[in-house]
Amino acid sequence: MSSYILFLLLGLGSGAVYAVLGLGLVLKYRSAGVVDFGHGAVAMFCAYVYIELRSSGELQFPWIIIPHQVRIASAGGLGTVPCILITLVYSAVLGLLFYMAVYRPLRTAPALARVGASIGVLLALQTIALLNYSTFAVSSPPILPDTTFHFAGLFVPSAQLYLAGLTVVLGLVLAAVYRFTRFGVVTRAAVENERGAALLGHSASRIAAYNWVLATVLAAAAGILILPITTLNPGTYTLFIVPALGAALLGRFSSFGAVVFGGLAIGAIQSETVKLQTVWTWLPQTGLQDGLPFIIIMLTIIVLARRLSARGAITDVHNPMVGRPSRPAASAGGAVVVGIIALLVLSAQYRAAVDSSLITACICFSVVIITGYTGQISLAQNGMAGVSAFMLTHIAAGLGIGFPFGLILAALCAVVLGVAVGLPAVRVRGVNLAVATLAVATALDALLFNNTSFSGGYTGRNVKAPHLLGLNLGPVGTGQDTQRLAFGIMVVLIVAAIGLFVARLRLGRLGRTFLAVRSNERAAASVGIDVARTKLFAFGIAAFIAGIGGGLLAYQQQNVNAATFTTWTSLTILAITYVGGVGRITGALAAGALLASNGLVPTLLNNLFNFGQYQNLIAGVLLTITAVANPDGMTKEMGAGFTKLRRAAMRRAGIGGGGDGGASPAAPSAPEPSAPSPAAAGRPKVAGR
Amino acid sequence: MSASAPAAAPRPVGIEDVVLDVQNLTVKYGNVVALGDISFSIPRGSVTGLIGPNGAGKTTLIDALTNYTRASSGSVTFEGESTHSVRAHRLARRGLIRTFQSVELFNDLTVEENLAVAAQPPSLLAALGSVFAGRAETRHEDVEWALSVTELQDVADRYPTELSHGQRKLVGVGRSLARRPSLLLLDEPAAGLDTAETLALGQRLRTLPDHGVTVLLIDHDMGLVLGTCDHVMVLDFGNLIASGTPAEIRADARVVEAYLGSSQQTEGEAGDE
Repeated sequence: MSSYILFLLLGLGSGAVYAVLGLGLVLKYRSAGVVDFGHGAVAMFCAYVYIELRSSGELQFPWIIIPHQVRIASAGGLGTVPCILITLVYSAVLGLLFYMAVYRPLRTAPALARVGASIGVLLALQTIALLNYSTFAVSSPPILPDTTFHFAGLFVPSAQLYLAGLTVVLGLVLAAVYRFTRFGVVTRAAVENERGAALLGHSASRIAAYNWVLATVLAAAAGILILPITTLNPGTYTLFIVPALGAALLGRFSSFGAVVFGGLAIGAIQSETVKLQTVWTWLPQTGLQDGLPFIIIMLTIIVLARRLSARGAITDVHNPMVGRPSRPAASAGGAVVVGIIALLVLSAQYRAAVDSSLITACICFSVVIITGYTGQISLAQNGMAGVSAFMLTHIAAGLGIGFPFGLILAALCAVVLGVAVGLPAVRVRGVNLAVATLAVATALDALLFNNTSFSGGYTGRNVKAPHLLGLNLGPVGTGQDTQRLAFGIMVVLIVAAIGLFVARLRLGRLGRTFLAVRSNERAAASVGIDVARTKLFAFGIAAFIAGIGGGLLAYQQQNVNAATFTTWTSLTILAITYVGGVGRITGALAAGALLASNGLVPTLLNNLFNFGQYQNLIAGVLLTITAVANPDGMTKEMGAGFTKLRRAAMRRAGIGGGGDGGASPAAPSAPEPSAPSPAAAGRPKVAGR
Repeated sequence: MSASAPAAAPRPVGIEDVVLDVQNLTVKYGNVVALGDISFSIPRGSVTGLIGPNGAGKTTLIDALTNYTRASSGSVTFEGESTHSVRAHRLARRGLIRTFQSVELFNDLTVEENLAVAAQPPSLLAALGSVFAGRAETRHEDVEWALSVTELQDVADRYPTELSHGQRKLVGVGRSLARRPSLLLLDEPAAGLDTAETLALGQRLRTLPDHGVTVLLIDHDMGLVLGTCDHVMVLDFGNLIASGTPAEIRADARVVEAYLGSSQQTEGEAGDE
């Protein structure tokens, strides 16, 4: 019995970190309206700042190529406490810079732009850490008193308990501050009604900046204090965001107490499953700890859905623009011709790059459907591609079904998953859906792709080359025959067909229905559209397309393994589609050609400048810039003339502005333009206090 | 189904002639009674008006009738069937269509597409099949009709954000019509329109019963409601305080007190008006 309790207590350490990160997420969300997916990455980076300072005396900066460290003391010359203090000040500055440069301009942006920006920060920081520091886990000397408590027959390490205690105190202090102090009251007022608070002379963005800095400092503190009892590497720390989101969701992004409890509980239960796995051997032996937050997030969403409303910010009208393909059949035919000519002309290496670009574009098409057309933010699309890729090998091995029916069956398996992923979308929208799909992505990664019996472990699973009517369509023949033309042509044809499908879908009844749901769910229901079913349908179609892409990827690589389909790859897929233009065929194609790893342009740049390692960094930075400056994506500029006209018209009508004056006659989804005034009128006493 | 229904003033009401029957409908938000014990019925082929000052519960009534808000008690029967716990989009498919005070168009779709999305059959699988079908779509006859009733043909290819407020209001009405409702609930269609536009709107609404569309018009433009409707109900503080022909309503003392009187009392203190 006592060992069960021991494991529970041991989990309080990581639980405390989840809780503190969760508190930071709440502060950021409540003040700036951003669910910061990069919060864990910031904690990770600050932990590196601390540990490098402690060991080498060098201060770290988040960039590459130009020297990223400056010596401020001799190696090991600074003690623990000065290092912590310097790092906390550093984190405050970092938080302020991020807020001013990225999140402040996004205050009035749509949910997708905010999610995109924070994922951009995540990818950038993670890649910088991978480039600047080794991926080997780093550990640190103890910070908190490192003894053991003798307690009810148990010997419990003290650090975990101290951390948990500090977290509880922190939660209480925050709760008291936000309830009783003027700062807290003003923060809450600005959340309730930004314009009202502004009328009373409170700058909502200044309040948000304070909160943002506080949250960043807390993240840094948590990242440092957990160091001695965990190991630091760029991936795991960044993924703390998932359980932290679980904790924040449990507290409905508002109750500090519930967040602290939720974080500690997730940590404790995770630790307990380690014990339970030894007792109940039927439990999955890998990934259960990482899959657990997924279960908690899903349960929270199911139970609390109606109360997980989006924050009362100035609402968005401006969804990313959706293209209107003209003459899709002709375009697809032209694309096939161009693609085949390219394959004929190019060398083997660039043929492979064309294949990679097109396959990535195919997976990006699924984002165009679900996020572009239907407006549902899914961070799990590459996970669906992964399920299909692995199922392709199982179907071939187990059922003996090969190309093309095996590919279709595998994609249909992804559809089943996709519809399941879509279920939360029936109950929550916007950023809460992004959280749910991120949880799905991590759970797939942890429970399925790292499950040896499903995925073949480190060696992965081999894929049989596709054959049709006796023709070998695989990428590799015998001897020197690699990057075969036949495979390339097959990819060109399949991806062109899917592109044509996506374009025609946009122009027809189904596309109209999707766009209607994206535009306005209330209005869609009022004309007889079943909003819930439409979303699930869109998730299913998107999953099928992602599944075909995943299958093609499996054929191309001839071996599928978990590394191809990690959580990060799903984030990257959304990121590059968003940068390319999330509502357009050309956006997905641009994402594949310009931004996909092993894509056409990266291969070229890699040959010229050894560019490949910066792939995710470029994607991350571009993503953040796109979200802040150009939410329609880069292919917008290439759009037809009417697009520009329409945009100009929208600007004339005051749609793009969002924040300025509700008096604009064309603010269609601001149902209560007069809402700020009664609230403002009701609070003059607060201002005079 | 009843395209030949006369557009005339109220006829003797039989069960089959009632499109909508509301009995003791009550909506509470917490302890606030937004609608208290309301009963009425709407005869087929009529244009019925509902007026009331701001906050009287007009939009709450539409929300409750279309199941956008859950009623606390009471019953609503539409086309002879209870609407209890029928989801909003199902009611819409049965022909009970509403508009929104704040228009709420699909801004990513052109005017024609806004109407087409309402007119198209609801099956998603059929819609998926049509992606594979080779030929181009032709304009649906209901879309054509709705465009002609609202006289929006000239702007069919424009986006809602390019239109004037009055036109956007009309698109909202047109979108509802494209679904071929048997009962159309209009939530303040004249708010924000100028006098000429309001007049033209009233004339268009008058023609709808000829096309089988019964209308419940909710507005606080007294001129529009009294000039357009066969029958008018007056709502105040969640209660139905009067009901009758426009002439009767004009003469009703309670209405004058609730609608005109109260405004004289409160605004009288401000001095002018």
